[in-house]
Amino acid sequence: MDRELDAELRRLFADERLDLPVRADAEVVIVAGARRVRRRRRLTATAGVLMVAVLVGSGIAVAANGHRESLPPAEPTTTTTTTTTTGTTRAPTRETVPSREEPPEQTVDPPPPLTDATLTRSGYGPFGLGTSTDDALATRLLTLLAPGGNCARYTISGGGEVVLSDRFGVVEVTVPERVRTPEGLGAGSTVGEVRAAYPWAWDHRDGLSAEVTEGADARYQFVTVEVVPPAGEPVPETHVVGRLALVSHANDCALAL
Amino acid sequence: MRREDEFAEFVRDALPGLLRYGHLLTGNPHDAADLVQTALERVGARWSSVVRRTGDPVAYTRRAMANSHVSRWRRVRRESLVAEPPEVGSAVDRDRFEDEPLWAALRDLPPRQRAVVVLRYYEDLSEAEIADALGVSRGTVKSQASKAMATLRTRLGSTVREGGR
Repeated sequence: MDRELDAELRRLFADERLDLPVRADAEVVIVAGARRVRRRRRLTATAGVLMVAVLVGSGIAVAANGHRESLPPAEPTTTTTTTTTTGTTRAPTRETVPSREEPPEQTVDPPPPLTDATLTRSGYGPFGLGTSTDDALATRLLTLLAPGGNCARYTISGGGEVVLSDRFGVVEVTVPERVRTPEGLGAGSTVGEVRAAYPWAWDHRDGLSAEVTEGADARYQFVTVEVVPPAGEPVPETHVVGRLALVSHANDCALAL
Repeated sequence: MRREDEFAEFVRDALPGLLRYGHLLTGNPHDAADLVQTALERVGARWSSVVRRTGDPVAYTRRAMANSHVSRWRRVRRESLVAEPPEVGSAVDRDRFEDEPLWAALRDLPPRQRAVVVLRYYEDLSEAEIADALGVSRGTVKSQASKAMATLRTRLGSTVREGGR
């Protein structure tokens, strides 16, 4: 039986169904991620944890993470033009509301930027996990940030980012700093506070992950400002969250970060 | 920049194999991608030193993945001992190996036992090498392997007796 089981295991491990599809731009995504880890490592090493915690409060640390999160426009009179066709990183184009008459297609009022304060267990504003790509784009709140094969990342007018999968629709939402989970956790919270609110949280990609409720099909991802310690060592309770996201388990864009 | 190009090329070449390996370790595509990406980002952040000191970045990345996966399990172990480990990502891969009794049995093993089996039968590592990769004693490897194989034998045996599922 042992020999039979050995052979069965080797046969299973050679099965081609274990192969997973690789995004066409995966290495670009990973190289960018490595750069982010290096930068944070340097930042932590040179500035020290205390200094980093101060930066979180001022929002600088989020920029240091390499994520382009924009705050709501300061001027209430500005409008946002949604661009979904550019192939390169591009911030929303803001224009002053024109005083003169425009052709009809340009006078369609853009929706106001998203100002929701809570990242619920199912999504952020109109971007619920599983919302179809068409419905998400129809909000006219999204600007293409990084296109990909079957996945693309968009910025949200008002701050934050959304990843859309051709197959699963909205699979991930990253929110701006002001937004909190229903339990009140977000940028600036400590790892200790996250663990207290979500005792089932585990050390994960650059911080902690916690299913929104135990056993749920979606999880909150708390990315810390500091670099996570080597494997096997827990993330210290004093580390500070710099970025909050909601990620669906029904997700084929895991390499679209 | 050249260093980064080198790393990008390494990622392009190694990614399919690493994802497959991650799939074996975690039992589902979503966690596999996360595990691979996390490991590669860290390898890339210190690429020169990994190449210089290990000489084999693929092997190094694989060990890092196995170690990191098992470490994560150590943290959630307290809950797992009471309840069955949650089937993270099961919504994605229902159509994959559902009909493979051995795959189902492997997925149900605790992560450390599964890692030992994968390192033994996929990586062909010796007991000592597995102990080194996972940062545990040889005795632990031996006992985990023996428990894992007993469970798999029982599961497969009952499947055969029931005429398959």
